[in-house]
Parts: sequence; C-alpha cells; structure tokens
Amino acid sequence: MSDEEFEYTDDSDSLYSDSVDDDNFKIEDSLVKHDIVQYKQHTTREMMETLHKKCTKLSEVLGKPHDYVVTLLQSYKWNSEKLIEDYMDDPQDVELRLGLSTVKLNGEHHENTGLQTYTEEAPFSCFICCEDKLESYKLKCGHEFCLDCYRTYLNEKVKQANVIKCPSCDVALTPGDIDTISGTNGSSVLLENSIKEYVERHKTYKWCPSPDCNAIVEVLNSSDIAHLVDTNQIPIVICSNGHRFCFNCGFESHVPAPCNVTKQWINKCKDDSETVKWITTHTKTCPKCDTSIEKNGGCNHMTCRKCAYEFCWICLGTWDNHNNQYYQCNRYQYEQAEKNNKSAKDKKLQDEATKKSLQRYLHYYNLFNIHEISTKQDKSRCDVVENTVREVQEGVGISWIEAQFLVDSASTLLNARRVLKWSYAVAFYCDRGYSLDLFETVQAGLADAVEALSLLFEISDVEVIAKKKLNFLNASKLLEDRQRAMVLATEETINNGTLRL
Amino acid sequence: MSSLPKRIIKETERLVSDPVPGITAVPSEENLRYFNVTIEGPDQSPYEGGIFKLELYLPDDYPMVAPKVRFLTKIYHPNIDKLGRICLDVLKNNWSPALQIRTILLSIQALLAAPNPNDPLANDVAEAWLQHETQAIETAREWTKKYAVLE
Ligand SMILES: [Zn+2]
Ligand SMILES: [Zn+2]
Ligand SMILES: [Zn+2]
Ligand SMILES: [Zn+2]
Repeated sequence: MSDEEFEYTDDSDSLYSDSVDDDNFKIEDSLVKHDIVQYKQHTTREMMETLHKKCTKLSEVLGKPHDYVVTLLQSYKWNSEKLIEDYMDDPQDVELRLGLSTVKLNGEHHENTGLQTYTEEAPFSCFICCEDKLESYKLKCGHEFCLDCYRTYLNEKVKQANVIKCPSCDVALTPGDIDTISGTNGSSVLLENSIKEYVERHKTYKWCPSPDCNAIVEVLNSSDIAHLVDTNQIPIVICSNGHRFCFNCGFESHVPAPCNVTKQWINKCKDDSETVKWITTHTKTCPKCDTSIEKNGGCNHMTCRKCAYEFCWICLGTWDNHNNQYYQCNRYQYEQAEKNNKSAKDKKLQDEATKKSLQRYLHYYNLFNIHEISTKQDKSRCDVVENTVREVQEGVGISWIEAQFLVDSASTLLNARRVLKWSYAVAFYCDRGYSLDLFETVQAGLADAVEALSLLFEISDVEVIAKKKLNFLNASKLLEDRQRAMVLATEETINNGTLRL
Repeated sequence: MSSLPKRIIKETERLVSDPVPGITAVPSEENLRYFNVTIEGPDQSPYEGGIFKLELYLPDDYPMVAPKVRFLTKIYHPNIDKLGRICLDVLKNNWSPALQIRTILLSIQALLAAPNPNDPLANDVAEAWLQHETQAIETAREWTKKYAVLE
C-alpha cells in the first residue's frame, strides 16, 4: 500500500470532526482565541484518547471489535471518512487489502492462534532463527515464529507508524497481538508514532519546537496563515506548556521580526557561523584591570570583582554612559566604521565595502548572540523561580499568591529579551536613516529595561526580594511598555519601506 | 567475531546443496557472512549470456535487517547505479526476516529480466530507457558483452 493511495486534503479531515459525546470522557475545550490565529492546544495524551474515542465510535458503526478498528484506521492514516466510504463499498476488499480478512486464508482455517507453548522433547523450530524454541506466536494465517524473533521484529516495526504485518504475508497484527508478543504496551508506542505521523502530515497541526515539549497546536484558520505571513504579521501560538512559537516557521517566537526576516537571518547566521565563532565566548576581561570575568546571570551590567569597575558586557564601555542616555552599544557606529576603513588605504574599495558589511553584520550578530546567551542564563534562573517563590513564601511569610509576582516578572523578562534579540535581526536588514535612528532609540530603551529587570533577578536574599516587590512590578511594567513600543516601531519601520531583504 | 547464527549456517548449507538455477553464492573463507555471488543474465533479456558478479554481506542484525548486496560487474540498468547499488524494495522497506538470501538473489535476477525505469536509481540510464528504449537495450547488450562475458 503506497502513501499516495490515502492522500487527503488537510481541511476535510480533522481528528475532531467526529463529536465526542461520552460523558465519562471530556476533553477540556481548549480553544484559544487570539487576535490573528485561532488555535487549539493539545497534548499527545489527549490526541491518543481522542483517537481511541474515534475507534470506539467506529467500532459501533461497523459492528467490529475495537482492536480491529484501530488497525483499520491506522492503515487509513486516521482518515475515517475515506475508510467508511471504502468499507461501505466493499468490506471484503478492504479487509483483504489490509490483511484483516476473517475468512479462511489459503483455503485453510487456523483455529489455534495466539501464544503457543512447546516442550523440550518436541520444541518449535523457528523459521527466522532456525533454533528450537519453547514459546511462539501464531497468527490466523498459520504463520508462526518464536517469541524472541517476533519481539525483535516488533521492536523495529513499532518505530514506524505503519500497521505491522506478519513477516511472511499480509495479515495485520492487531494491538492485542502486539501487546501479547511484546509483553509491554507495544501497541501504544505504535499509536504514539502514528500520532506523530498524523501531526507531521497535517499542516494544521504543529509540534511545539521547545526542547522536551510534546505539546501540539492545531490551528483552526490555517488558510489565513499565508496571508498573515505575506503581510508581515507573525502567527504566534502558545502551547499548553506556555511556550510561544511561530506556527509558520515552527520556531520560537521571533516577534518583532517578520517570518521572512527571520528565515534570512537564520540562514545568514548559519552560513557565517565559522566567521563569528570567536565572538561567542563566555568570558571577557575587565576593560580596566584585565581580570577575567565570567558571566553567570543574564544581566549585561557587569561589575568587576577586583576593581569594582562597572561596565557593559556588550560594548565593554563604562556603565555610567548607559544609565543616563540608554544604551549606545546597540547602534552600529557608521562614522567609526568609515574612519576605520579610510585608514586602510592600501585596500581596494570593494574589499572595504565587504569588510564594512561584515563588520556591520558582526555588530548585530554579536548583539543577537549576547541576548541569546543571556536568555539561556535568564532561563536557568527563571526555571528555579518556583523554588524562589517557595523560599520567599516560607522565609518571609507571605502568601503564595502574593509571591507570584516573581513568576510573572520572570516570564515578562524572558519574552522581552527575546523581542529585543530579534529586533537586532530587524535592524540588520534596515536601511540607515531617520527611521532606523528612531527604531534604535526605542531598541535602546528596551535593552535598558531588560537589563534593569534582569538585575533584580540577581538578588538571592529572599528578604530583599520580598522587599523589592514594588521594584519588580515597576520594572516589569516598564519592560512591557517598552516591548510594545518596540513592536510598534518595527511595524512602522517596515511600513516606511526601510526594510531591505 | 561471534559464532555464526544457526540461521546463516542453514541458509548457507541449502545454497550449496540445493542451488538456485543460474545463481551461485559461495561464502568467503575469511568471513562466513560475506558471499561471492554470480547471477546469469536471464534469457531474452539484454543481459542474456552474461555472468554478473556481486558481493553480498549479512550484517550483524541479519535476518532482522536485509543483506547488503552490490553488483561488482559493470551493468547498464535503470535500477542499478555506477557503484553497483541496487534499488529494490525487498532490500529496503519491504525486507522481512522471513525472506532469505535465495529470495533476494531471485528478486535481483527478476529485476534483470524486467527493469523498472519508473523507479530509478541511475537517473541518466532510466531517462535513456524511457525515451529511447531500443537504443538503451542495445547499450545494455553491449555492456553485457564487454564486461560480463568471460573469454
Ligand atoms: Zn526464532
Ligand atoms: Zn502470515
Ligand atoms: Zn511547548
Ligand atoms: Zn515565523
């Protein structure tokens, strides 16, 4: 059976097209309404349960055992409409084709199927391993193999999402056969892989790209996605574990960068990764006393342990400049670059242009990368935020609800830093000019607010944390405002036609 | 090397005692999982009269995975590439532990009798086969004479 036989369109067949009306079983309606994307959140377990539900219903319709229907639907890649159509047409043909026929095979009728046991005196001689064995399994086709061989065979086959057939003919193994042979829940492994395939085949579904997350998002207005992407809108969805990702790219949320900017930027970074490797180092030396400094937290406001010099991790300039007038380090210094290039007189003009563009790229890549690393560092802090909440709760004696500001602040920080990070990709593709100046001013403001909140997370003393609650709240509020401003500024920049891809 | 599984011993014995017409498969003395194979070109095919050498290797996981087979003699065929690799479903997705060395070699012989240019491995050959079949068959015949007929 080829895959093409059961091709179907994505819209006509939904896992959820059959209403589930069993009271014992209720999937929480997790429809999420969003401005531009309408979607449902699913978990693998929910999907499994829904598939089982679907089988139960169909098993009633067809008057066939549940096991049998699971195998049928699996063969039909869960397209029940097509299955019912074919089955109503010619049930025997469907059964024969899928190796589910209950009529006599090869004119023989094998009664005694399933698990078989033998004695030392009269053992079973297995065709696959050619050894004498005491335990075997026989399907209704009469083909029989030792349990060890069958197990090895199944272990390989469950990894694929297809119905498993007898090693010698086309008779299908039912979930019952599979579980008996494997001695474990082999059939649910097969079912899980079948779901994986289902999700991958349907463009209305997508796995959450976050590592170790098995959540699935189903978009209901998938026909709108192309238009959204064309008009530089980003179809962001949130999985049931709270991860934000772009449904179009299947990649972490890249707001405010539109999908096409994101793709180009990622490809560029991939292509140039060797050139810029040297930049991505976790240690730098204090610009004043040359002491080696390791960066642990996400904050880029550094203080040298030895000489107490406060500086910016990104530009290694003194922090004083950053406090009053925002970051200047997010701005690519054209004048400086031009001066540098003029001094290199012996080089050809074209060489200089290339170098300048590489320098420019390195400038933005460096910023992007620094915030990517900072995100990871923030994340490891925020991962333990629940612990911190408990410590604050116990240590200071405030309620759990009151301590939730930490969790909220942590997620605000992570989101905002990601927005800041992606805004550098946008900046790289922007033409120099008034519009970019405005953009970079807003960007500097956002960077400033990100570092301010990140700095608060450096505090480890729970009493101080509790005392600084208002600081957390204010910093979060400011950060949210500036993040919004950043998104708006990006939209404006794009509308102005400043973006060059 | 670990001892040879009973399955391989049995198959080897049968290949010797009850050989398939037009096919020989002899295990190498140094490695009993490595077979020197010859297949006669089927009658009424462009490979008629040729004797094609192949190598066959049984991986550690055999028979759970398919044997590895490769043509050593140069051959002009849409499903066999320059390196002698063969595009055959039973060597890939449709392999089953209930199949044997002899069934695989028979399938390869059948592939020589009925080339399938619609599922090609050697794209240039397949294209020639689809567009100028008579000429392609002539080339296959020439190659057979040149590379597969022993003096
Ligand atoms: Zn066995
Ligand atoms: Zn069978
Ligand atoms: Zn997730
Ligand atoms: Zn995207």
